[in-house]
Amino acid sequence: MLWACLRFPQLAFDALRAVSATASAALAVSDGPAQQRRIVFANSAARSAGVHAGQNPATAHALCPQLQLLARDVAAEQQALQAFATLASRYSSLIHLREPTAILLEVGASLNLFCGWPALQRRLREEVARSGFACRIAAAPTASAAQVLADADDGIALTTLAVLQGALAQLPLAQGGLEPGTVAALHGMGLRTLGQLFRLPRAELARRIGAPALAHLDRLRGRIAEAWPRWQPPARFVRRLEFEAAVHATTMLAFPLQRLLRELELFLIARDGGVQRFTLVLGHERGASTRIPVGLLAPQRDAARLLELARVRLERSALPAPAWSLTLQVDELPPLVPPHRELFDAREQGRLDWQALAERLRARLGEDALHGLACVADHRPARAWRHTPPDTAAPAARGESHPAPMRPFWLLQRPLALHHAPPRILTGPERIESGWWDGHDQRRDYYVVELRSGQRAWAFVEAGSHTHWTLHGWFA
Amino acid sequence: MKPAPPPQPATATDGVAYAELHCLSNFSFQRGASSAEELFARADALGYTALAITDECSLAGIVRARVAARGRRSRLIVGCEITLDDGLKLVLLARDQAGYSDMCRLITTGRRCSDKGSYRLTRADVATLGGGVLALWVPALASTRLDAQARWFRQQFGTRGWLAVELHRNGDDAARLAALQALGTRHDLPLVASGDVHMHVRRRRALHDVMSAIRARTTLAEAGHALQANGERHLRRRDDLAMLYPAPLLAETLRIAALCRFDLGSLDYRYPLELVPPGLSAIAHLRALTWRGAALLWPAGVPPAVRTQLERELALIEELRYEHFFLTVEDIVRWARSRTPPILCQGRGSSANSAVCYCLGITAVTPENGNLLFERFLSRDRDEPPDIDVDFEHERREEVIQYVYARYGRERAALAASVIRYRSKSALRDVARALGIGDDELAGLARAHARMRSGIAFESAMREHGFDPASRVLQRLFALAAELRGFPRHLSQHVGGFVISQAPLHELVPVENAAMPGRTIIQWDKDDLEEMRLLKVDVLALGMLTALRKCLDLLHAHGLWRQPRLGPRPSLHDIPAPDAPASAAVFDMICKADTVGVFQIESRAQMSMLPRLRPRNFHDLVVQIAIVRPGPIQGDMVHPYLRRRQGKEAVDYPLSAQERAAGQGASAVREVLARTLGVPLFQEQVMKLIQVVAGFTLGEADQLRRAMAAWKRDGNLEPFHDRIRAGMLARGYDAAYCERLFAQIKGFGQYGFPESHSASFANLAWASAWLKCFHPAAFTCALLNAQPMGFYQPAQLIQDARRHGVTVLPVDVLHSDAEATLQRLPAPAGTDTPPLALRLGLCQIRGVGAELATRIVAARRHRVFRDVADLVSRARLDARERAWLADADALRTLSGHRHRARWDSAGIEAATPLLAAAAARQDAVVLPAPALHEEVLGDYATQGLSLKAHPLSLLRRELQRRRVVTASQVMHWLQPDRPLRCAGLVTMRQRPATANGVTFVTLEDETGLINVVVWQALALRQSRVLVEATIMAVDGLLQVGEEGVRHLIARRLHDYGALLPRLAHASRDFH
Amino acid sequence: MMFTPAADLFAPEPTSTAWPAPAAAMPAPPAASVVAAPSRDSAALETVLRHPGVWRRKSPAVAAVDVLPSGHAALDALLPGGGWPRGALCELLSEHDGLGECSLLLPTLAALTRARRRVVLVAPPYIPYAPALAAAGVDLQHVVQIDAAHADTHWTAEQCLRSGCCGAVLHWLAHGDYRELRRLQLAAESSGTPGFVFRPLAAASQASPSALRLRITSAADGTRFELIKCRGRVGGTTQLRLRA
Repeated sequence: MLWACLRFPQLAFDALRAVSATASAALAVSDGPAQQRRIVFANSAARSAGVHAGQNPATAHALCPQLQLLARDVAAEQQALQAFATLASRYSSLIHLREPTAILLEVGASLNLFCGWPALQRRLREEVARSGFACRIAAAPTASAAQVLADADDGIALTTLAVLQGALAQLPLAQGGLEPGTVAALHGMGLRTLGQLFRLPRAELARRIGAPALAHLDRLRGRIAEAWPRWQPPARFVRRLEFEAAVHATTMLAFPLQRLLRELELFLIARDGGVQRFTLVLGHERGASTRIPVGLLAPQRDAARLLELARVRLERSALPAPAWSLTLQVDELPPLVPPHRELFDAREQGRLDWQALAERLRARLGEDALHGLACVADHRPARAWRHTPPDTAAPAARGESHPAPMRPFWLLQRPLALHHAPPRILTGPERIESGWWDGHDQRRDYYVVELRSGQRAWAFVEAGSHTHWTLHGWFA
Repeated sequence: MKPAPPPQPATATDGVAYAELHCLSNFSFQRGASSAEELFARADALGYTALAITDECSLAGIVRARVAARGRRSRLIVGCEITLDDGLKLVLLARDQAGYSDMCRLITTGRRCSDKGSYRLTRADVATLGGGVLALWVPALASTRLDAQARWFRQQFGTRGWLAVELHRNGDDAARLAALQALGTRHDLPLVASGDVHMHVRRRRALHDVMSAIRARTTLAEAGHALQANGERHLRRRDDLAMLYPAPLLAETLRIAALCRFDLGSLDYRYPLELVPPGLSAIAHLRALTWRGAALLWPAGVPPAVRTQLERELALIEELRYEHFFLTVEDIVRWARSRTPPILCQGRGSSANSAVCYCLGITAVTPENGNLLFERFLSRDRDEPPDIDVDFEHERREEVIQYVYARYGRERAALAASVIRYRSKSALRDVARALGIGDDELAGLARAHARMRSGIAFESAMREHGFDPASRVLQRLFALAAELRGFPRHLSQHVGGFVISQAPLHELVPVENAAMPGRTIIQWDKDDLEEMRLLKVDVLALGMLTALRKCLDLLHAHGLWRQPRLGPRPSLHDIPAPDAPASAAVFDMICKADTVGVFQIESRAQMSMLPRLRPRNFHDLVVQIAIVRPGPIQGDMVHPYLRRRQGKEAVDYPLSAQERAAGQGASAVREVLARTLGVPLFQEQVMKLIQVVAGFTLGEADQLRRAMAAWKRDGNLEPFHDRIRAGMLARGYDAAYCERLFAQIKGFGQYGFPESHSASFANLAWASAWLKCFHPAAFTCALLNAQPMGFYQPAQLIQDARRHGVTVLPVDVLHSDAEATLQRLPAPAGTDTPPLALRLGLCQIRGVGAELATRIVAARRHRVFRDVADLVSRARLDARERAWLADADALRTLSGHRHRARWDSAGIEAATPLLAAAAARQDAVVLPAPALHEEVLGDYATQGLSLKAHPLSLLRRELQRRRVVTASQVMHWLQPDRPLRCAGLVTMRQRPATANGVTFVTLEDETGLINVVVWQALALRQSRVLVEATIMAVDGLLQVGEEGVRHLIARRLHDYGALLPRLAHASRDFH
Repeated sequence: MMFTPAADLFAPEPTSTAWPAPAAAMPAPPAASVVAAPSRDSAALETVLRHPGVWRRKSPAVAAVDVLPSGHAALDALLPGGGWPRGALCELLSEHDGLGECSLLLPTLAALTRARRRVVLVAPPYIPYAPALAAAGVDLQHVVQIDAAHADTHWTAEQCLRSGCCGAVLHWLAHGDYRELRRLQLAAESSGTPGFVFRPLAAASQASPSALRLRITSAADGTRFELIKCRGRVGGTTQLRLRA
């Protein structure tokens, strides 16, 4: 076995760099809750100004006023690591992810295929370099050692356990991959290298550093087996159908579409998953393609229902050019929550049917046609409500015991100027003065008025004024 | 539906009188958005007949309101607003003194049974109110229990209860009024108009919204209905009110206002009487105590001058009726002295430096020094209560506080409040949060704001930190923060100001819980107390007293006290006076600036002044302490005084035209300033001076003193400037002298020192210097055991002791106690007195606390430890504790070097009782012995110091290669004005506000200390090295002052930290 | 906008009158206050119990006509079966906006949403004002507003009515022919969902397949509601005043 380790020493920074301009500017990444934020990485410009990991941002700013602080994005780091694991899967079938910053791959099996380690290492480096990430690589007969060595000595490759043993013995304790507390304790005993450790009586050492640390030392030297979970590539579903003749109308896609969705359904059943979003890709001549995304309210896997939706979508999109292929692509396979069909619960049944109805309505009227309504705690009438995604629980405003003054059933989208003072005032004024902080300060007196026609309206004037009446709602 | 009534014409409003009965000031924290001052100014302008200040369950703002109402047409009505636990909201108004006392008691009840900052009151509590309290009920109309509430209210208050009609244009005003009228009719309750006022003008709406958001701990955007719908809760114009309210409701306000005749000024405050034995008058008792004390202090007879002084003081005290105050202080001090062991204490403050206080044992400043300042403070002309602060050992002050509570009962003694106000920074932060500005931006703004405070213009400071100065949000932020600044934020406890009264305090002022358990505070702060003429005794904590007590005890315990003493143990009184024959050695030490650890004169600034001022007697020390203060430095008084003292400048006194004409050489200024060579150094000199030269009365001078104290906050000294100038020119003083004097006054505004304080401090400075001079080991030991205090870290105190020949022994589990101790060494051949060495205590080790140290010492007392295993098992040490001790080399005598110790101690399984066998097996392992530099680094990492070697000595060869000279060469040998390089551990960085951006750095190497001066430009250029380096090298120019004071003026700084990585050393920075 | 506003509102006023002062007494709020909304739990329970869809087949003793109480006792007395017919179309023909024509339904909407039944507003002409709905006790969580282009509104309303998963469908229709209304009526019948169609008063003269038609006009003393058609009660108009 030969293990290669790819370590990304500045992953926190590299994972963010895509979004911020790379320059000679001083940049640092910070992490942690607002009150105890710490620098986790500083680039060379920042380091030369004295910024370093572990500092608090205020000190860092004091040292380097022009320092740009980026917030750490753990998700981006994990995503990057996943991407590199995917990349590594081309060279090995046995991959371990060692969060937060390392990937291990067994390369002994495929070494010949890639013309030996130097060539393979070169290829790995080139591939990583293309993504702009910094990377350290080492190879060793044990995975633990490869990881430790990647830290200590970039580029090193040790192929036999005997050589490895010698190299490890030279390694400073701090680089041995032991817990910081253990390192500190051993340091206090005057021990500085792994070699000194190896020479100590096992039982005596075990009493002082504990069995897990000892096991780590044994794994390093290949004395006991390493058993880490094997990395699994993320699941996707991609199927493509080539047509024998060009397809000119979307209606002609129904049959191939049905076939693809059947396949998808079987795939989903096998994985016990569902699909919430999928993409239909129509392939045209010369590599051009049309992508049609289809979204669902909740994960599903019933082919018939998926087909109904996909057909509506397809019918609504015109073909820009004849299609030669159809691809069904699914990138995420969320768990399917099985329909909760209780026999006697008519309400629950209704809710599920509502999802079907909502999908149907959206398909025809557009994604944004359905709204929920919610109250917003704001004194300004036009801001006292908002649209919400339908079927979401309305937050906050509910249950609030704000005494509700008279409010009309209808609010006008845009208030309308009235030509005359209303003939009859029923209640008012309700003075509303609020909103200076967001640039929409309002100072109005609202009245409930009745018009000659018997209509009841909600109208306002500027606070304290009695002219320039404006209609804002109907007590419909 | 009825047709709407015809519009009411705007009636002439001169006839509509109104009194506002429900108004919150900004002492309803985060609710009221205007100060009492603003409210009364506005109410007065609007022609209100009266204004009730009704803060929520609080009278904390009522004294300010009283001051604000002075000279206004609107009369103050004292009241408060409370919300009962069932939601009932009442406004209570004090009709007479009994009502006021009832209200105080009610607030006290509500506050005492709840956490700090909140209260809880029930209907049963309200039922205790007597006939002196009027009540307005603000009903929540939505309540379903309205009628039940009304019945209770009617039954509770009878004809003293009203329904408050508060209309704020909420859309349902008419319905609200109708509903209240119906309710009033149903229950026979009269209606009255009131405003629920939260601000003085509508313009305050923005600030009020901000405060509401702060209170709700949210942003304005999220605050929603926590904000008011409109700005109607301000003091409205009377004709507006006439439009809103039926006339009878407005008229009723006046009827109620007329009923409330209570005046805060009529409160009757008495000092506790019980200290006087039955049958004796207070003054007779005080006299007896005084003369008894005098007889003890002057066994050979009281000197005649002192005798006269005592008589004069006692006569004055009797006349002003302050006997009880002095007796109270005496009682506390006597109690503290009577403890075993006694608690060391010393008084200071205007009245403390009196012969009476000396005889009562309150102070140790002997009147024989010619220091009798008493009458200057306590005079029959000046209407100001006496002021005595008493410092106690800081570790034992709590005992004194609990004594006061026990002596007078919690009913009659409480701490004064301290009003915590919004400062620029906190105002900016809270407003920014309310405006939804994120934490990172806020941090940037705080930095920009700090830059502005150091003089950078708003625009450039903002741009520098990436903000657009023209942005609306920023403009709003800074405008609102400026409005909020100075607003009270919450009540805290005064550091130690006790108010004690004969009657229960809650009849005078509400009492509430402080944040600290077991403490109660009254709702008034020290300004309020002064305004209300309540006396307070300051019970303060002072670390130096702890150190002095410990030092005297050590000397006593080791039989080293050779001086005579009055009591069973040596005390402050027993330290020989500065004019004693042996004192010369102490003054020699002081003049050499060899004062590390000496009270007050140990800072860099003091040390650089000592060789120049060369104090040789007590008065010199008093001056020394007063002069190196920001006040005199900013008022430019230091250099004139120095020149005159050194005889380089003639001492002259400006003459008025009259004096010049008389030509007798008589000068009024001379009388005031002769003690300080014509330069005003003490606060009271400044006050006396303006009376003499500018014709101020005592009262006016007193106003100026208050203005000076508040100057930094308000900046309102200009009116005084004109008056001083006019007064002085009229008396024929020249204009330049006017300006100089005024500059000095402004300087004092910041941090002037009264002579009495300085004299008390000088006394402690003297005592500590004397102990340091003659008993350095005991003194250092005591300082170490009183930490944290003073200017220096333990490492520097120990270095200093070693330089003075004290043997310092390392921490050792076999020899160390929890604290540092003195231990006898074997007597060297040829002498019979074994020398004393200083043994560091276990608590010196980082991580080791008193509990662990006590565990070890107790186990050792029982039986000496056989080996590490024995120690671990009997002292029950866990893995972490073992590591601390081993790494600190405290197991050396048990185990050998620290590596061995760590190995041994780590290998012990605490649960296994059979240890002997295991211990035997361990010898097989060979561990490398630590090198010297490892030892030193290990010591620094665990204790912040090393006795084995100075870190710099490890580097000496490399430093020589880099042409670095040693501290002793710099400070003693080298010629000035030539460039050199030195290096050392950074032990201190200071940037005094008065030094124009200069940073003072102290470097330490194995030979001594080097004082480095870094000018601002260099500091900015090399800020990183300056702030971060643990080992710093400095290229610079050596400067030697006339008195031999040596400074290195830095030209370039280097960070040599890389030469000794992992050196854990912290300097004392920027104090 | 689907309703023509009253003529006098936006046109020059013939005679100008003096400014009226605020009314001295607060009038009752329109419509919604006729019957105080019952407390949440009891209302929900009540609605479920009265739900004929649940009980009818098992217990023939309960009401023969499947209805939703309107929340207004006077109106319930007027309506056959004592409420809005379930599984049928009701037309509300209003003279103007602002006569309380929508608020009339608020008690029903409140009861439905509290029973967790979804209420759908198809193509409302203005913003349905959430604070007013909430104040009337409507649980906004179960209210859905659907925007649809004019051409799609009819289809949308029909889909909703037909689906059977809505507690009520409110639909604003400026123009509509018999055929379209017929489809809606059939959709409502097939699923047992009540449909409410708001139309201008001018449509009253047209023939309609709706089960129930209500004419809403302004009167000197408030709003007048007239039942102009009702299945099972042919002919005859009945008047009702719901607000003063």
